[in-house]
Amino acid sequence: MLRKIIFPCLLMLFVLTGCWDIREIEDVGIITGMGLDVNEEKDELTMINQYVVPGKIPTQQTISQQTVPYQNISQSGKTFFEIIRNNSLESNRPPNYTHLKSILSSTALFEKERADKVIDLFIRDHEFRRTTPVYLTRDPVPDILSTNPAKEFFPSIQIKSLSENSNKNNKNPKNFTIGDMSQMISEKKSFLIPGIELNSGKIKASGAGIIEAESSKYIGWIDSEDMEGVRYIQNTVQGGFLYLDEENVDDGPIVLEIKGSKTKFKTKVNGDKPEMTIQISTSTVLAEDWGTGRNVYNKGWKKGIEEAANTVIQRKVEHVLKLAQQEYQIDFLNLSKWVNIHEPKYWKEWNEIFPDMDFKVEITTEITDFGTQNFNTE
Amino acid sequence: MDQSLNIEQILREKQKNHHVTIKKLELEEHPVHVIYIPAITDVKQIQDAILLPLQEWNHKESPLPHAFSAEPLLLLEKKNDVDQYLLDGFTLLIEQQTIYAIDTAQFAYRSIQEPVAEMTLRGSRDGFIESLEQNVALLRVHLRSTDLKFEEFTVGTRSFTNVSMAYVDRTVNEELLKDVRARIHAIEEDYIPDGGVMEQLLEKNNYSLFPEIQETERPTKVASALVEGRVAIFVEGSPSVLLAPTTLNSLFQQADDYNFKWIPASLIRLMRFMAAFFSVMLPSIYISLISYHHGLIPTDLAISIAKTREGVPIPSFMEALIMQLTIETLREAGIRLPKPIGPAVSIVGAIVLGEAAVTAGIVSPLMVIVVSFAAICSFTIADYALSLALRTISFVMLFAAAFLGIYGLILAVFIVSIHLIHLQSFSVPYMEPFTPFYVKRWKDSLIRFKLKKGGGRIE
Repeated sequence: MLRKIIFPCLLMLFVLTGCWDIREIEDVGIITGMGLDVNEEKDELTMINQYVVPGKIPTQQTISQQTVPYQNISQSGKTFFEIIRNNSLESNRPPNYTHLKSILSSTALFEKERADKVIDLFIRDHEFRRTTPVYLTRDPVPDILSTNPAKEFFPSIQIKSLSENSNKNNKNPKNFTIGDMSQMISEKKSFLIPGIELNSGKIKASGAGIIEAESSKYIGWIDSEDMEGVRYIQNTVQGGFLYLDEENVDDGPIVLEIKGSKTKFKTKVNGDKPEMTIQISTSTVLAEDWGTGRNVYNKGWKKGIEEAANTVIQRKVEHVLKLAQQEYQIDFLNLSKWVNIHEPKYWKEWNEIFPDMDFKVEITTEITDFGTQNFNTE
Repeated sequence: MDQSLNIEQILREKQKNHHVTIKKLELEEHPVHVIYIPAITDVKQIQDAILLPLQEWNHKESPLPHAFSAEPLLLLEKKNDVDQYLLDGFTLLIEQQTIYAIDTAQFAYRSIQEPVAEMTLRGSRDGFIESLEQNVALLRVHLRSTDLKFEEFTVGTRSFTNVSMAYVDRTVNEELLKDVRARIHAIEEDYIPDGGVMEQLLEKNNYSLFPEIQETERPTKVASALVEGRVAIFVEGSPSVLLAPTTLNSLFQQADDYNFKWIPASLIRLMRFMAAFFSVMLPSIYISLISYHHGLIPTDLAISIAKTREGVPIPSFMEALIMQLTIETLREAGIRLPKPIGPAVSIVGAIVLGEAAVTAGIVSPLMVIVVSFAAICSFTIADYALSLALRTISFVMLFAAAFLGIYGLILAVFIVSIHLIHLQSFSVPYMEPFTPFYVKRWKDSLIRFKLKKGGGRIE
C-alpha cells in the first residue's frame, strides 16, 4: 500500500515540475564585467555590460587578434534593473551575471548617488554573487572596459587579476567585494574601494576611493603611495617590499622583502580620552643590496637596517592616520572596530572622538635572512 | 505415466531413434541387449569393458553383474531412470527383465582455458568449462576440504539438466541452504541452456536491474566465496557458476585485489568505485551543469564550453543521448562481431565517427570527451550484469538531468538508492556492509585491508 503511494509521489516530483530553468550555455550571455557611470546629459544612470563572445575567442587553429572577444553594451536608464532588461533589446542572449568578475564604477556615480542605493540591486538579486569585487575609477569607465589586455581576453577579468597580486606589492589594494561593501554599509562605517586607472591604454591598479558613511558618498582619493600605510593598518600585508634609500641607511640603498606582517591594536583610556597603540611586527629578508661595504657576516649588521625600516613604516602609517584624522576627519580604516571591542562606551561618539584621538605607532622589523650569496665580504 | 519397466516397449522406443545403438548378443539362447548412444559414450570402453567380458560370461554359472569386475553395475528400476542414464552416457544392459547401467560416458568438452570475460594479472588461470564433473574437479583442486559438500538436483522438465549446489559445511547458514533448495525445486522450466537462465529463475526481484546472483568462471572465486559461507550453483553445460547471496560490494571485488599488496590494491578498488560513479553520473552531471547551472562552472571553463557549443545545432541533452546510444551500439557490435573484426569496429567508431562528428559540428568536442570517458569508466566494472545495470541507470540519469538539472539528478539518485537499500539477495541486504552499517566488514569493501584480519562471512 505504502509503495503505491510513494511511487506516484516520486513520479510527480519529475512530471509536475517539468523542464523549468533550462537554458543551454551557448544561449546565455555570459557577463564578465560591469561598468557603472552617470549620464550627465540625460541625468540618468549608465550601465555597461561586458558580454563574452565565445566565437571570437582565439584557439590554437585560428590565431586572429583582429577583433576582441567581448562586446560592451552601454545603456542608460533610471534604474539598473531596467537597463539590464533593456539589454535584451540589443543582445540576443540575455545577460547572466553568475560569472561576473568585477564591477567598475566611476567616482562620479558615487558623488551623485548614495552607495547603499547603488548596490541595492547587486545584493538583492540572487544571480549576483556577493564575492564579486568592486572598483572605483576617476577615468572614463567605457575606455577602461574597452582596453585590450595582452594576457587576458577581457579587461574585466584583468581588473580582478591585478588585485590578486596584492601579496606582491603593498601599493596594490586588496579585493573588496560586494559582500564586504554591504557589510560596511550595514555597520555604518566609512570604507575604501580599490581604485583603477587608465595608464596609456593599460589598466593599472592605483590607490583607493573613500566612501563616507553618513552621506554614503565618495569624498576623496587615497593615492597609490599611501596605500602601503593603509595596508599596514588594515592588517592585510602578506608580502611586498620595503625600499630604504641612502637617507635611511648607511652604506647605500637596500630593499627588504616582506615575508609577513602582523598588526595589533591596543586601546586604553587615559583620563577620559581613549588612546590607541598600533603595534606592527614585520618579518623581512634582505632582497637586494645596492650599497657597498655592508658585510652580512659581521654580527649586528642588521640592527641599523631594522631601525631604518621601522622609521620608514612608521612614517607611512602615521601619514595615513594624519590623512584620515586631519584631511578627511573620518575613519575609513575601520579603526572603530577595536574601540568597539576594547572600549565600547567610547564607540558611540566615535566620529567626534576620532579626529583628536592619540595614536601611537610601534614598529618591530626583523630581518631573518640575507639570501644566498653576498659580494661585500673581504 | 507407467513407471514399471516394460522391456519390449523400451526396446521399441529406442529403436526409433537412430542415434541409439542396440546390440543383441545371443549368448547360448540367453539374449542380452546392449544399448548406448555412441555420440556420448566411449565406444572403445564398451568394447573392452562390456562386450568382451560378456562373450566370456557363462550365464549358467554366475549372474550378470559378476561378469564385470572393474565397473560397478547399477540396477535400474524406473522408466525415467532408464532414459536419464542413457542420456548421461551410460550403457544399458538388458537381461530378461532386468536393466543394468554401466558408466561409459564420454561427452565432448573443450579443454580448460582461461576465462575470457574475467581477466586477472595474477592468480590461477583455469576457468570452468561445460562439464559439471570437470567443474567440480576444478573446484576440488582449489578447495580440498572434507567440509565441501555437494547436493545434486535435476532441473528442467525436458532437458533434465544436472544442477549441483556446493557449500562448505559448518560455515554456511542453514537458512540459506533451505532457501536455495526451495528455489531450485520451484523451477518449472523445460530447458536450462545456461547459468544465466538459471540465475534469472532463482532471482526474486525480477524487476530489479541489479543482479541478485553473481556469476563467475573462476574456480578460485568460487572457492573463496564458499569459504565466506556463500553457496555455489553449478549447472551442467554452463561454464558460469552462480554464487549466492550477492552484495553490490562483492560485485566490485576482483581476484587481483587479494593477490597484490593491500595499499595499491585498495587504491585500485577505490578507483573502481569512482569509475563506476563516473560511468553512471558524468554525462548527466555535465548536461545539468551546461543546461541549468552555468554558475557552478569555473568562468574560464564556462567560456570555453560555450565556445565549443557554438554552432552545435542540437540541444545538449539530445547530443548526449545520441553519443551514449552510439557508444552502446558500438559496444554491442564489438561483442557480436568475430574476434578479428571487433577492434576494427571500435577504431572506426571511436576515431572516425567521433572525430568526424566534431569536425562536422554535430557534436561538441567536450561532449565526446565526457561520453567516452564515461564509457572507459564503465569498462572497469568487471561484472557484466552489473555493468548492464549501471549503463541502463546512466540513461535514466540523463533524462532526469535533462528535465530538472541537478535537482532531477538528486531525485534519480534517491530513487536508485532507495531501491538498492531495499533490495535483498537471499535475505542478505544488497548494500551490506554500508547499510546495514557493519564497520568491521568495511575492511573488505571500499578498501581491502591487510590480510589475516580481513575476511569474515556474510551472516
